[in-house]
Amino acid sequence: MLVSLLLVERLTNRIILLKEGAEKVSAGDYSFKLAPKGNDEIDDLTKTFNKMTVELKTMRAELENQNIQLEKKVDERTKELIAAKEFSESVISTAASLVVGVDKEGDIFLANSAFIDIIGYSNDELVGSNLFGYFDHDASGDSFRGFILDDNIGAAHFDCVLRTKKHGRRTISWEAAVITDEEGEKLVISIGQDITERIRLQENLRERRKEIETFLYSVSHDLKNPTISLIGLLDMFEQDSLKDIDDNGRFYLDRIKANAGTINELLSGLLEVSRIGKGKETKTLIDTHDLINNIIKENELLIREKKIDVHVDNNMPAIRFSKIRLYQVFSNLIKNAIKFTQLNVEPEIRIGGDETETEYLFYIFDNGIGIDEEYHATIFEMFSRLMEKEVEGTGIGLTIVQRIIKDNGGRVWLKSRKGEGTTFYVALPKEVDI
Amino acid sequence: MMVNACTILLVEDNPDHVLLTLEGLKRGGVINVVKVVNDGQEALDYLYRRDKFDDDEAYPMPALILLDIKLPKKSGMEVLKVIKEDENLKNIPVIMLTTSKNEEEIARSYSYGANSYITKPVTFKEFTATMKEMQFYWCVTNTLPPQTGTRA
Repeated sequence: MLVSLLLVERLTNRIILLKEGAEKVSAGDYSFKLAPKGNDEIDDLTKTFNKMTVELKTMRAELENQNIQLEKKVDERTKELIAAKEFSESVISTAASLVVGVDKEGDIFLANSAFIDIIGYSNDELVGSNLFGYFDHDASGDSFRGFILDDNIGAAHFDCVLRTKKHGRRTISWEAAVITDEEGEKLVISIGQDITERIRLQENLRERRKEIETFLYSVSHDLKNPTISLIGLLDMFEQDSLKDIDDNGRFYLDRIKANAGTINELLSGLLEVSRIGKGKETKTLIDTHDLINNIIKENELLIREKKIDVHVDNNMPAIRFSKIRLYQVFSNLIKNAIKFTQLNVEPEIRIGGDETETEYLFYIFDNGIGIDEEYHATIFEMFSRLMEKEVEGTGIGLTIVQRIIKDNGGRVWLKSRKGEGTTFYVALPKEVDI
Repeated sequence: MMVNACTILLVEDNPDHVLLTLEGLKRGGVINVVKVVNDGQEALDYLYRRDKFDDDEAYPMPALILLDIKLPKKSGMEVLKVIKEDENLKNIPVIMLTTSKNEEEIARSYSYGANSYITKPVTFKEFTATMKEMQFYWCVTNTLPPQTGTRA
């Protein structure tokens, strides 16, 4: 009985030690080890306990290691996110463009400093207020408002006028895009440019241009009257004094008449230039082959005198255009081709036309003196011909051609080299709606 | 109708152009009486027999009007409009005088009822060509006998 009591007590003690050991291990002391005291089941348990403790220790260490790694990664990601957020925030806030974010009612939740500066209210005043409250009373913001309020997706462009606190009315050109927030609500982020100044400059430019053209027109017109008198009076003088004029007088009279004629032509040209694009020009269907042949006939005297071989392509498109304008275009180009023939070359002029899906294309080729490439850029400018004194002309013909073509959305250009002839090309867009 | 009964009214403000037009016509053999007024208002006063113009002998009603487009006080266009809208005046042929061929201006004159136009300086050649075109030639020249049945 005593033996069994003692055995129980020893067993109990060892179990208590095991229990205490388990408590220590569970408290985190993985270095705790139980000393084996015999060779029985309890001892087996103790050994298993010790082995488990070691495994636990390793697992715990691994776990801790993983935790540290994880925390490191979280730290890195957080830093990256903060950096990215700071980056985009600083981009948004320092951007010269206006950035404004609104919800589907148009209430502002985001405004960058450029937007705040323009509007002139503080961030606190802006956020939560309604964007449409800053829209001008004109209808310029209607489509932008519609884009925000209606069920739109994607992105779109709008110009609208905003009323600001300090800068008056500003015209803003917006690029707006629909996004959805984490709750799936529609938001609109818009990036805008203040184009008020650009518009003002463009208008100024237009006005200045108009002034210059009006000036050009009135000067040419006012000079036209005395020029007409001059020509008429010279005519009368010539008729009356024919028999009294000797060869010397004849020479000077002819020079005076020629100069008066040039002035008159110049003024007509200037008047013509300032008229292009003004007023309505009736368009009719024109057979370009007929038109060009008529122009050739008008210039037949000179063509025969210079023995020019003229060839006009039979297959040329009929186009809708103002007849007098198209006449001016071809007449000027053909007269140029006739004028600038070169010595010792049998002169030749070839004219043709074709059409693509979108354009009519015409060419006027001559094998004349050609134009040095350095003049190609300036040749359409007013009076550029005056640089080359050896050839007569008013220097306004090509300006008229270019004005007419440009005014009708077309292009005119040339291929030429000095001594190798010239080809002028005219491209006119086909009318979309007839 | 008597040839010399055809008075021409010239409405022109530029004295040189008046001189040249009169000379141009005279040298071509147009012997009609040409009355000259210098602005648009005066032209209307003449046609409506106002003030001094209320004198059929000194200022006979014209059978033809040469009307400059650019005029002081009332432009040639305005005068043309008044003439062509007036039942009593609209049958008088009106030839517009222009300094340069301006398609739009010419189209506008025609839409207001102008009968023709001449580019200045007015020469006999262009004048008679225009008359012929208007089939009005018989009235204003002594170089050809009056033709019968040509008036449109």
